[in-house]
Amino acid sequence: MYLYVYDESAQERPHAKEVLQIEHRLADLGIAGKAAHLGLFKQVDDFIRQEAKRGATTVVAVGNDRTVQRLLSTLLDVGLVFGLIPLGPDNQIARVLGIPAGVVACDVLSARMTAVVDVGVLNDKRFLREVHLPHAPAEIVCEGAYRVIPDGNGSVTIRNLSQAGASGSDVAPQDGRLEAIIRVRGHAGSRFGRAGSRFVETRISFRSLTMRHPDSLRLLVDGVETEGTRWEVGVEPGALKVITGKDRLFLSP
Amino acid sequence: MSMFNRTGSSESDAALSPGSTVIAQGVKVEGDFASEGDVIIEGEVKGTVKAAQHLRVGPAAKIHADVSARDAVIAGEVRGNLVVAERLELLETSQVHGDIQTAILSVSPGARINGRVVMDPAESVLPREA
Repeated sequence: MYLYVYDESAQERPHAKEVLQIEHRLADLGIAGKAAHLGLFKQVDDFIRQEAKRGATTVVAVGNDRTVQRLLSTLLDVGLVFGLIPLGPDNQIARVLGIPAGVVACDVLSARMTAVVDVGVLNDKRFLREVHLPHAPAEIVCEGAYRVIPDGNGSVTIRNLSQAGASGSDVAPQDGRLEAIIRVRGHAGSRFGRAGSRFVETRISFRSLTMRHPDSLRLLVDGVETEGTRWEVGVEPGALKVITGKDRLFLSP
Repeated sequence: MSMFNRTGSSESDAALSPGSTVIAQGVKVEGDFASEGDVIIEGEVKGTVKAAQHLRVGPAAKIHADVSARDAVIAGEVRGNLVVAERLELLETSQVHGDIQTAILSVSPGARINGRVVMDPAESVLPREA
């Protein structure tokens, strides 16, 4: 049994026609199910938990990366299969999973090709795609064994199910690890050209990492903004079963 | 495709396999660094370095550490003992201040070695004293 959770934006006028097409297509494919809409006062998490007890097998988010972030912890707690119908902008997770936008995604859901992927944890918050800090923290400690010290300011991105670079060939959400990408400006005389001419990337694969900063820093967790001064980052290997398209950007190990 | 070339610079990010580590210029690492994948070091490292696969040390890199790897290509400076299980390649710009233990050694003209070289598997390079 499928559950559908629509993002708030799905109720807005620009999406009305597309949502209608999606609902018709789901019915045609025989995978229509109960639906709920995310909203300020909606108890969608309770809805998912109750339906899980009644035998629901799959939760499908109709929305974007922020919709996924909103549902992720509940999905992991109840252990249901997760599907996604991308709607509107900010759909990087769908792109990596190989799910096309809009009504065509219904056919991908129906085919039900699945993969088990890792989930990242930042303090008590889970994330599927990435965490981004526009300003690098003062201290980064990996695996409790070594410190990484950026020379000057930069940014830090912690990736799970997201791309780095243009090729996307290095998306690896099934290796039980995360990747920290630390960007700082290249130095004078380096092969990267003049000082400040471009950013260079340090890339570190890890299972656990701690970051600290004396002042509160802003960061984005799967596109959702939060703030803090200390972060423990870890990974839950193979925590989520997701429906993917045949064009997904990662290979099974 | 190899992640290394002979000019001392790493290839594009696209060539990196998942799990690879890159310590770029402008970043310093202090402590006991270990990686299960390939490693490229272009920045600074102090402590110990253990690379289970390939290790590449770029021409601007400075390593103050005992280093172990399966294979290694060195173009920068290493101050510490170097234990490479299979093949070690020292490029023209490399400087090693420490003992070397490896099975196969390639030394380019201009490379500098200040230390013992051991190629007998029965012998071992003792850990460098702090």
